[in-house]
Amino acid sequence: MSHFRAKIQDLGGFINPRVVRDHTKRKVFAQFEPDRQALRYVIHNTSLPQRVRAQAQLQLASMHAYTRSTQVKNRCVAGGVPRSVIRAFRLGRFQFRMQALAGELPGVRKASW
Amino acid sequence: MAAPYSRLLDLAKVQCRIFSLNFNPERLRLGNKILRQRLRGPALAAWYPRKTVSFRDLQETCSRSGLTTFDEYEDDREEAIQVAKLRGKGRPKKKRTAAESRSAKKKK
Amino acid sequence: MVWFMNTTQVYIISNDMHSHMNRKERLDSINSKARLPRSVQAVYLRPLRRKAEYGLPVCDLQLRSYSVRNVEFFADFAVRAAYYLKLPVSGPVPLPRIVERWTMPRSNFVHKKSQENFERITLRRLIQIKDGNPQVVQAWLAFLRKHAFYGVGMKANVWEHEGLDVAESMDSTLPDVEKTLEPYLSQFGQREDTRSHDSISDILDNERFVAYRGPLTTVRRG
Repeated sequence: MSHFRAKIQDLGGFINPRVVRDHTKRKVFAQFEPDRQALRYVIHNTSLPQRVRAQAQLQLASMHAYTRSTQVKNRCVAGGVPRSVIRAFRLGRFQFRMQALAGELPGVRKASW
Repeated sequence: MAAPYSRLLDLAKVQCRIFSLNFNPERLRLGNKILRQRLRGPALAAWYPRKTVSFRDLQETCSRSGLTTFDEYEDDREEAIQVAKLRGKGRPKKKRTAAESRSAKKKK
Repeated sequence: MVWFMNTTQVYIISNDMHSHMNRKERLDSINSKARLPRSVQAVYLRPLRRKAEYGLPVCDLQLRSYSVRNVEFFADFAVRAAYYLKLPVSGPVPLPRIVERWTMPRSNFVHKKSQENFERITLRRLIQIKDGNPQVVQAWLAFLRKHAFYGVGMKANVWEHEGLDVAESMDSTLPDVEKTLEPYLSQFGQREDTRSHDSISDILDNERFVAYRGPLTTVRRG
Protein backbone atom coordinates (compact mmCIF):
# COMPACT_ATOMS: atom_id res chain seq x y z
CA MET A 1 0.00 0.00 0.00
CA SER A 2 1.14 3.46 -0.87
CA HIS A 3 1.17 4.80 2.66
CA PHE A 4 3.83 2.24 3.57
CA ARG A 5 6.06 3.05 0.61
CA ALA A 6 9.07 5.17 1.40
CA LYS A 7 9.22 8.54 -0.31
CA ILE A 8 12.88 8.04 -1.17
CA GLN A 9 13.80 4.52 -2.17
CA ASP A 10 16.95 2.97 -0.76
CA LEU A 11 17.23 0.23 -3.37
CA GLY A 12 20.53 -0.06 -5.16
CA GLY A 13 20.17 -2.70 -7.86
CA PHE A 14 17.49 -3.38 -10.43
CA ILE A 15 14.30 -1.44 -9.68
CA ASN A 16 10.79 -1.78 -11.03
CA PRO A 17 7.43 -1.20 -9.36
CA ARG A 18 7.06 -4.83 -8.30
CA VAL A 19 10.51 -4.87 -6.72
CA VAL A 20 9.69 -1.65 -4.85
CA ARG A 21 6.43 -3.18 -3.64
CA ASP A 22 8.10 -6.35 -2.45
CA HIS A 23 10.86 -4.39 -0.75
CA THR A 24 8.24 -2.28 1.02
CA LYS A 25 6.45 -5.42 2.20
CA ARG A 26 9.67 -6.83 3.57
CA LYS A 27 10.44 -3.69 5.52
CA VAL A 28 6.89 -3.43 6.85
CA PHE A 29 7.01 -7.05 7.95
CA ALA A 30 10.33 -6.48 9.72
CA GLN A 31 8.89 -3.44 11.47
CA PHE A 32 5.72 -5.14 12.71
CA GLU A 33 7.11 -8.59 13.44
CA PRO A 34 7.50 -8.04 17.21
CA ASP A 35 3.84 -6.96 17.45
CA ARG A 36 2.68 -9.97 15.51
CA GLN A 37 4.76 -12.29 17.66
CA ALA A 38 3.40 -10.70 20.83
CA LEU A 39 -0.17 -11.28 19.64
CA ARG A 40 0.68 -14.84 18.61
CA TYR A 41 2.11 -15.45 22.05
CA VAL A 42 -1.11 -14.27 23.67
CA ILE A 43 -3.15 -16.48 21.34
CA HIS A 44 -1.05 -19.56 21.99
CA ASN A 45 -0.94 -19.14 25.76
CA THR A 46 -3.77 -21.31 27.11
CA SER A 47 -3.34 -19.99 30.65
CA LEU A 48 -4.71 -16.56 29.66
CA PRO A 49 -8.48 -15.87 29.77
CA GLN A 50 -10.36 -16.89 26.66
CA ARG A 51 -11.65 -13.37 26.11
CA VAL A 52 -8.17 -11.88 25.91
CA ARG A 53 -7.05 -14.57 23.51
CA ALA A 54 -10.03 -14.01 21.23
CA GLN A 55 -9.33 -10.28 21.28
CA ALA A 56 -5.74 -10.92 20.29
CA GLN A 57 -6.90 -13.18 17.47
CA LEU A 58 -9.12 -10.45 16.13
CA GLN A 59 -6.36 -7.90 16.30
CA LEU A 60 -3.90 -10.17 14.55
CA ALA A 61 -6.43 -10.78 11.79
CA SER A 62 -7.14 -7.08 11.44
CA MET A 63 -3.51 -6.12 10.97
CA HIS A 64 -2.55 -4.88 7.52
CA ALA A 65 -1.77 -7.48 4.87
CA TYR A 66 1.71 -5.98 4.35
CA THR A 67 2.68 -6.98 7.90
CA ARG A 68 2.32 -10.66 6.95
CA SER A 69 5.36 -12.68 5.95
CA THR A 70 3.36 -14.63 3.37
CA GLN A 71 3.15 -11.48 1.26
CA VAL A 72 6.89 -11.56 0.67
CA LYS A 73 8.08 -13.10 -2.59
CA ASN A 74 11.67 -13.78 -3.51
CA ARG A 75 12.46 -11.86 -6.66
CA CYS A 76 15.53 -11.79 -8.88
CA VAL A 77 17.87 -9.08 -7.69
CA ALA A 78 19.13 -8.39 -11.20
CA GLY A 79 15.88 -8.58 -13.17
CA GLY A 80 12.91 -8.59 -10.81
CA VAL A 81 11.66 -11.95 -12.11
CA PRO A 82 9.52 -13.73 -9.49
CA ARG A 83 9.79 -17.30 -10.78
CA SER A 84 12.58 -19.82 -10.63
CA VAL A 85 14.78 -17.68 -8.41
CA ILE A 86 17.84 -19.44 -7.01
CA ARG A 87 18.03 -18.60 -3.35
CA ALA A 88 21.79 -19.00 -3.04
CA PHE A 89 22.42 -16.26 -5.59
CA ARG A 90 19.08 -14.39 -5.44
CA LEU A 91 18.98 -14.54 -9.22
CA GLY A 92 16.40 -15.68 -11.70
CA ARG A 93 17.30 -18.61 -13.90
CA PHE A 94 18.33 -16.64 -16.96
CA GLN A 95 20.29 -14.03 -15.03
CA PHE A 96 21.99 -16.87 -13.19
CA ARG A 97 22.96 -18.51 -16.46
CA MET A 98 24.30 -15.28 -17.96
CA GLN A 99 26.34 -14.43 -14.87
CA ALA A 100 27.62 -17.99 -14.46
CA LEU A 101 28.80 -18.08 -18.07
CA ALA A 102 30.44 -14.70 -17.61
CA GLY A 103 32.30 -16.07 -14.58
CA GLU A 104 30.76 -13.61 -12.14
CA LEU A 105 29.58 -16.26 -9.69
CA PRO A 106 32.55 -17.68 -7.77
CA GLY A 107 33.00 -21.42 -8.15
CA VAL A 108 30.09 -21.92 -10.55
CA ARG A 109 30.97 -23.51 -13.86
CA LYS A 110 29.42 -25.65 -16.51
CA ALA A 111 28.95 -29.21 -15.35
CA SER A 112 29.13 -32.42 -17.29
CA TRP A 113 29.15 -35.86 -15.81
CA MET B 1 15.41 -47.40 44.16
CA ALA B 2 12.61 -45.40 42.57
CA ALA B 3 12.50 -41.83 43.88
CA PRO B 4 9.13 -40.36 44.90
CA TYR B 5 7.44 -38.13 42.35
CA SER B 6 7.58 -35.06 44.55
CA ARG B 7 11.35 -35.40 44.83
CA LEU B 8 11.66 -35.57 41.05
CA LEU B 9 9.48 -32.49 40.74
CA ASP B 10 11.74 -30.62 43.12
CA LEU B 11 14.73 -31.67 41.08
CA ALA B 12 13.08 -30.46 37.88
CA LYS B 13 12.22 -27.18 39.58
CA VAL B 14 15.81 -26.59 40.66
CA GLN B 15 17.00 -27.55 37.19
CA CYS B 16 14.68 -25.03 35.58
CA ARG B 17 15.77 -22.32 38.01
CA ILE B 18 19.46 -22.93 37.32
CA PHE B 19 19.17 -23.03 33.54
CA SER B 20 16.45 -20.35 33.48
CA LEU B 21 13.81 -22.55 31.87
CA ASN B 22 10.08 -22.48 32.35
CA PHE B 23 8.94 -24.94 35.03
CA ASN B 24 5.80 -26.49 33.56
CA PRO B 25 5.11 -29.98 34.98
CA GLU B 26 1.48 -30.09 33.75
CA ARG B 27 2.69 -29.46 30.18
CA LEU B 28 0.34 -26.56 29.65
CA ARG B 29 0.59 -24.75 26.34
CA LEU B 30 2.06 -21.45 27.43
CA GLY B 31 3.08 -20.23 24.00
CA ASN B 32 6.73 -20.34 24.93
CA LYS B 33 7.63 -21.70 21.53
CA ILE B 34 6.76 -18.32 20.05
CA LEU B 35 9.07 -16.55 22.47
CA ARG B 36 11.85 -18.93 21.48
CA GLN B 37 11.48 -18.20 17.76
CA ARG B 38 13.93 -15.83 16.18
CA LEU B 39 12.82 -12.73 14.36
CA ARG B 40 12.96 -13.29 10.61
CA GLY B 41 12.39 -9.66 9.67
CA PRO B 42 15.99 -8.45 9.41
CA ALA B 43 16.98 -11.42 7.23
CA LEU B 44 13.98 -10.94 4.93
CA ALA B 45 14.45 -7.19 4.65
CA ALA B 46 18.06 -7.67 3.54
CA TRP B 47 17.11 -9.45 0.30
CA TYR B 48 17.56 -6.57 -2.14
CA PRO B 49 20.88 -4.69 -2.41
CA ARG B 50 20.80 -1.21 -0.91
CA LYS B 51 22.10 2.01 -2.36
CA THR B 52 25.82 2.53 -2.09
CA VAL B 53 28.09 5.46 -2.83
CA SER B 54 27.74 6.58 -6.44
CA PHE B 55 29.92 8.61 -8.76
CA ARG B 56 27.66 11.57 -8.20
CA ASP B 57 28.33 11.44 -4.45
CA LEU B 58 32.04 11.52 -5.18
CA GLN B 59 31.52 14.51 -7.44
CA GLU B 60 29.59 16.29 -4.73
CA THR B 61 32.26 15.76 -2.11
CA CYS B 62 34.91 16.86 -4.59
CA SER B 63 33.07 20.03 -5.55
CA ARG B 64 32.58 20.88 -1.88
CA SER B 65 36.32 20.95 -1.39
CA GLY B 66 36.82 23.03 -4.54
CA LEU B 67 37.95 20.25 -6.88
CA THR B 68 36.55 19.88 -10.38
CA THR B 69 35.49 16.48 -11.73
CA PHE B 70 34.78 15.22 -15.20
CA ASP B 71 31.95 12.81 -16.00
CA GLU B 72 32.32 11.68 -19.58
CA TYR B 73 28.97 9.92 -19.80
CA GLU B 74 27.10 12.92 -18.44
CA ASP B 75 28.85 15.25 -20.89
CA ASP B 76 28.06 12.90 -23.78
CA ARG B 77 24.44 12.78 -22.74
CA GLU B 78 24.11 16.55 -22.53
CA GLU B 79 25.78 16.96 -25.90
CA ALA B 80 23.40 14.44 -27.48
CA ILE B 81 20.43 16.35 -26.04
CA GLN B 82 21.75 19.59 -27.49
CA VAL B 83 22.18 17.97 -30.91
CA ALA B 84 18.66 16.51 -30.75
CA LYS B 85 17.23 19.92 -29.83
CA LEU B 86 18.97 21.56 -32.77
CA ARG B 87 17.46 18.94 -35.07
CA GLY B 88 14.06 19.59 -33.58
CA LYS B 89 13.92 16.12 -32.02
CA GLY B 90 14.03 17.28 -28.41
CA ARG B 91 11.69 16.45 -25.56
CA PRO B 92 8.18 17.96 -26.05
CA LYS B 93 7.15 20.67 -23.62
CA LYS B 94 5.47 19.49 -20.46
CA LYS B 95 1.71 19.95 -20.52
CA ARG B 96 0.76 21.69 -17.29
CA THR B 97 -3.03 21.70 -17.58
CA ALA B 98 -5.64 19.27 -18.84
CA ALA B 99 -6.77 21.74 -21.51
CA GLU B 100 -3.30 21.94 -22.99
CA SER B 101 -2.92 18.19 -23.29
CA ARG B 102 -6.36 17.89 -24.90
CA SER B 103 -5.59 20.51 -27.53
CA ALA B 104 -2.29 18.75 -28.29
CA LYS B 105 -4.16 15.53 -28.96
CA LYS B 106 -6.79 17.18 -31.15
CA LYS B 107 -4.22 18.75 -33.45
CA LYS B 108 -3.29 15.30 -34.63
CA MET C 1 64.53 -28.69 -4.14
CA VAL C 2 66.91 -26.24 -2.55
CA TRP C 3 69.93 -27.83 -4.11
CA PHE C 4 68.33 -27.87 -7.49
CA MET C 5 67.77 -24.14 -7.31
CA ASN C 6 71.32 -23.49 -6.21
CA THR C 7 72.76 -25.48 -9.10
CA THR C 8 70.70 -23.53 -11.61
CA GLN C 9 72.06 -20.35 -10.17
CA VAL C 10 75.57 -21.56 -10.60
CA TYR C 11 74.84 -22.60 -14.13
CA ILE C 12 73.53 -19.19 -15.09
CA ILE C 13 76.47 -17.44 -13.57
CA SER C 14 78.98 -19.69 -15.29
CA ASN C 15 77.63 -18.48 -18.63
CA ASP C 16 79.10 -15.04 -18.22
CA MET C 17 82.16 -16.31 -16.45
CA HIS C 18 84.60 -14.06 -18.23
CA SER C 19 83.15 -10.72 -17.20
CA HIS C 20 82.29 -11.55 -13.55
CA MET C 21 85.14 -13.68 -12.39
CA ASN C 22 85.30 -12.16 -8.96
CA ARG C 23 81.60 -12.31 -8.40
CA LYS C 24 81.37 -15.95 -9.44
CA GLU C 25 84.09 -16.89 -7.03
CA ARG C 26 82.36 -15.06 -4.28
CA LEU C 27 79.07 -16.75 -4.96
CA ASP C 28 80.70 -20.14 -5.21
CA SER C 29 82.26 -19.69 -1.85
CA ILE C 30 78.93 -18.75 -0.38
CA ASN C 31 77.33 -21.79 -1.91
CA SER C 32 79.92 -24.12 -0.56
CA LYS C 33 80.16 -22.66 2.92
CA ALA C 34 76.77 -21.11 3.68
CA ARG C 35 73.36 -22.62 3.46
CA LEU C 36 69.85 -21.29 3.51
CA PRO C 37 68.30 -20.89 6.95
CA ARG C 38 66.67 -24.07 8.19
CA SER C 39 63.25 -22.44 8.31
CA VAL C 40 63.56 -21.54 4.63
CA GLN C 41 64.75 -25.02 3.74
CA ALA C 42 61.78 -26.46 5.60
CA VAL C 43 59.42 -24.69 3.21
CA TYR C 44 60.49 -27.14 0.52
CA LEU C 45 59.87 -30.16 2.72
CA ARG C 46 56.77 -31.65 4.27
CA PRO C 47 55.47 -29.55 7.19
CA LEU C 48 56.88 -30.43 10.60
CA ARG C 49 54.54 -31.44 13.37
CA ARG C 50 54.49 -31.49 17.14
CA LYS C 51 53.56 -34.64 18.90
CA ALA C 52 50.34 -34.47 20.92
CA GLU C 53 50.82 -35.55 24.52
CA TYR C 54 47.20 -36.22 25.47
CA GLY C 55 45.39 -35.99 22.13
CA LEU C 56 42.59 -33.84 23.53
CA PRO C 57 40.92 -31.91 20.69
CA VAL C 58 40.86 -28.17 21.35
CA CYS C 59 40.04 -26.55 18.05
CA ASP C 60 38.56 -27.66 14.73
CA LEU C 61 39.36 -25.43 11.80
CA GLN C 62 37.48 -26.03 8.60
CA LEU C 63 38.74 -24.49 5.37
CA ARG C 64 36.46 -24.19 2.38
CA SER C 65 37.20 -23.15 -1.14
CA TYR C 66 36.16 -23.74 -4.72
CA SER C 67 39.72 -24.35 -5.87
CA VAL C 68 42.06 -27.15 -4.82
CA ARG C 69 45.21 -25.05 -5.09
CA ASN C 70 44.02 -22.39 -2.68
CA VAL C 71 42.71 -24.71 -0.02
CA GLU C 72 45.73 -27.03 -0.20
CA PHE C 73 48.13 -24.14 0.04
CA PHE C 74 46.37 -22.53 2.94
CA ALA C 75 46.00 -25.81 4.84
CA ASP C 76 49.75 -26.30 4.50
CA PHE C 77 50.34 -22.75 5.70
CA ALA C 78 48.09 -23.31 8.73
CA VAL C 79 49.89 -26.52 9.69
CA ARG C 80 53.29 -24.81 9.46
CA ALA C 81 52.05 -21.86 11.52
CA ALA C 82 50.80 -24.28 14.17
CA TYR C 83 54.22 -25.94 14.32
CA TYR C 84 55.98 -22.67 15.08
CA LEU C 85 53.40 -21.89 17.77
CA LYS C 86 54.10 -25.34 19.28
CA LEU C 87 50.57 -26.59 18.67
CA PRO C 88 50.12 -30.30 17.90
CA VAL C 89 48.06 -30.67 14.74
CA SER C 90 46.24 -33.49 13.03
CA GLY C 91 45.22 -33.08 9.45
CA PRO C 92 44.55 -31.58 7.00
CA VAL C 93 41.77 -34.13 6.60
CA PRO C 94 39.96 -33.89 3.25
CA LEU C 95 36.25 -33.79 4.07
CA PRO C 96 33.59 -34.81 1.53
CA ARG C 97 33.11 -32.31 -1.24
CA ILE C 98 29.85 -30.37 -1.37
CA VAL C 99 28.48 -30.57 -4.89
CA GLU C 100 25.61 -28.28 -5.83
CA ARG C 101 24.11 -28.59 -9.28
CA TRP C 102 21.59 -26.49 -11.14
CA THR C 103 19.91 -27.16 -14.45
CA MET C 104 18.66 -24.16 -16.38
CA PRO C 105 16.88 -23.83 -19.73
CA ARG C 106 19.32 -22.25 -22.15
CA SER C 107 16.82 -19.71 -23.38
CA ASN C 108 15.10 -16.99 -21.41
CA PHE C 109 11.69 -18.13 -22.63
CA VAL C 110 10.16 -21.59 -23.25
CA HIS C 111 12.33 -24.19 -25.11
CA LYS C 112 12.52 -26.51 -22.10
CA LYS C 113 14.13 -29.24 -24.19
CA SER C 114 17.46 -27.46 -24.42
CA GLN C 115 18.97 -27.12 -20.97
CA GLU C 116 22.33 -26.50 -19.42
CA ASN C 117 23.94 -27.80 -16.22
CA PHE C 118 25.95 -25.76 -13.76
CA GLU C 119 27.75 -26.92 -10.68
CA ARG C 120 29.65 -25.53 -7.75
CA ILE C 121 31.98 -27.85 -5.87
CA THR C 122 33.10 -26.77 -2.43
CA LEU C 123 36.29 -28.44 -1.20
CA ARG C 124 36.86 -28.76 2.51
CA ARG C 125 39.84 -29.45 4.72
CA LEU C 126 39.71 -30.07 8.46
CA ILE C 127 42.63 -29.15 10.69
CA GLN C 128 42.40 -30.20 14.31
CA ILE C 129 44.50 -28.77 17.11
CA LYS C 130 45.20 -31.14 19.98
CA ASP C 131 45.79 -30.10 23.61
CA GLY C 132 46.98 -26.54 23.03
CA ASN C 133 46.76 -23.59 25.33
CA PRO C 134 43.52 -21.66 24.57
CA GLN C 135 45.37 -18.36 24.24
CA VAL C 136 47.88 -19.85 21.82
CA VAL C 137 45.03 -21.30 19.79
CA GLN C 138 43.46 -17.85 19.66
CA ALA C 139 46.78 -16.40 18.54
CA TRP C 140 47.00 -19.05 15.81
CA LEU C 141 43.49 -18.27 14.59
CA ALA C 142 44.21 -14.54 14.64
CA PHE C 143 47.39 -15.13 12.65
CA LEU C 144 45.46 -17.15 10.06
CA ARG C 145 42.83 -14.43 9.83
CA LYS C 146 45.48 -11.79 9.37
CA HIS C 147 47.07 -13.75 6.53
CA ALA C 148 43.79 -15.02 5.09
CA PHE C 149 44.22 -16.34 1.57
CA TYR C 150 41.95 -15.27 -1.29
CA GLY C 151 39.10 -17.62 -2.06
CA VAL C 152 39.44 -19.61 1.17
CA GLY C 153 36.80 -19.46 3.88
CA MET C 154 37.51 -20.44 7.47
CA LYS C 155 35.31 -21.70 10.27
CA ALA C 156 36.66 -22.65 13.68
CA ASN C 157 35.08 -24.53 16.55
CA VAL C 158 36.99 -23.96 19.76
CA TRP C 159 36.55 -26.02 22.90
CA GLU C 160 37.85 -24.96 26.26
CA HIS C 161 38.39 -27.32 29.15
CA GLU C 162 38.19 -26.42 32.81
CA GLY C 163 39.37 -28.07 35.97
CA LEU C 164 36.99 -29.63 38.46
CA ASP C 165 37.12 -26.53 40.67
CA VAL C 166 35.46 -24.51 37.94
CA ALA C 167 32.89 -23.00 40.32
CA GLU C 168 35.59 -21.59 42.59
CA SER C 169 37.53 -20.03 39.73
CA MET C 170 34.35 -18.53 38.30
CA ASP C 171 33.49 -17.06 41.70
CA SER C 172 36.92 -15.55 42.01
CA THR C 173 36.77 -13.92 38.57
CA LEU C 174 33.21 -12.69 38.98
CA PRO C 175 33.99 -9.18 40.34
CA ASP C 176 36.28 -8.45 37.39
CA VAL C 177 33.72 -9.71 34.89
CA GLU C 178 31.01 -7.62 36.48
CA LYS C 179 33.19 -4.57 36.31
CA THR C 180 33.82 -5.06 32.58
CA LEU C 181 30.15 -5.73 31.87
CA GLU C 182 28.91 -2.73 33.88
CA PRO C 183 28.82 -0.20 31.01
CA TYR C 184 26.89 -2.64 28.79
CA LEU C 185 24.37 -3.79 31.37
CA SER C 186 23.61 -0.23 32.41
CA GLN C 187 22.18 0.31 28.93
CA PHE C 188 19.49 -2.33 29.45
CA GLY C 189 16.22 -1.64 31.18
CA GLN C 190 12.51 -1.17 30.75
CA ARG C 191 11.30 1.89 28.96
CA GLU C 192 9.65 4.48 31.18
CA ASP C 193 6.56 4.82 29.03
CA THR C 194 5.79 1.10 28.93
CA ARG C 195 5.93 0.64 32.67
CA SER C 196 2.41 1.94 33.36
CA HIS C 197 0.58 -0.95 31.68
CA ASP C 198 0.31 -3.94 33.92
CA SER C 199 -2.38 -6.20 32.42
CA ILE C 200 -2.46 -7.74 28.98
CA SER C 201 -5.97 -6.49 28.22
CA ASP C 202 -4.73 -2.95 28.87
CA ILE C 203 -1.88 -3.48 26.47
CA LEU C 204 -4.21 -4.90 23.84
CA ASP C 205 -6.54 -1.92 24.16
CA ASN C 206 -3.58 0.36 23.85
CA GLU C 207 -3.43 2.58 20.77
CA ARG C 208 -0.19 0.90 19.74
CA PHE C 209 -2.18 -2.11 18.60
CA VAL C 210 -5.49 -0.54 17.72
CA ALA C 211 -4.99 2.81 16.04
CA TYR C 212 -3.94 3.34 12.47
CA ARG C 213 -0.30 4.03 12.11
CA GLY C 214 1.43 6.39 9.74
CA PRO C 215 3.62 5.31 6.85
CA LEU C 216 7.23 4.19 7.12
CA THR C 217 9.08 7.38 7.58
CA THR C 218 12.46 6.27 8.77
CA VAL C 219 14.27 5.30 5.59
CA ARG C 220 17.94 5.72 5.04
CA ARG C 221 18.55 8.52 2.59
CA GLY C 222 20.49 7.38 -0.41
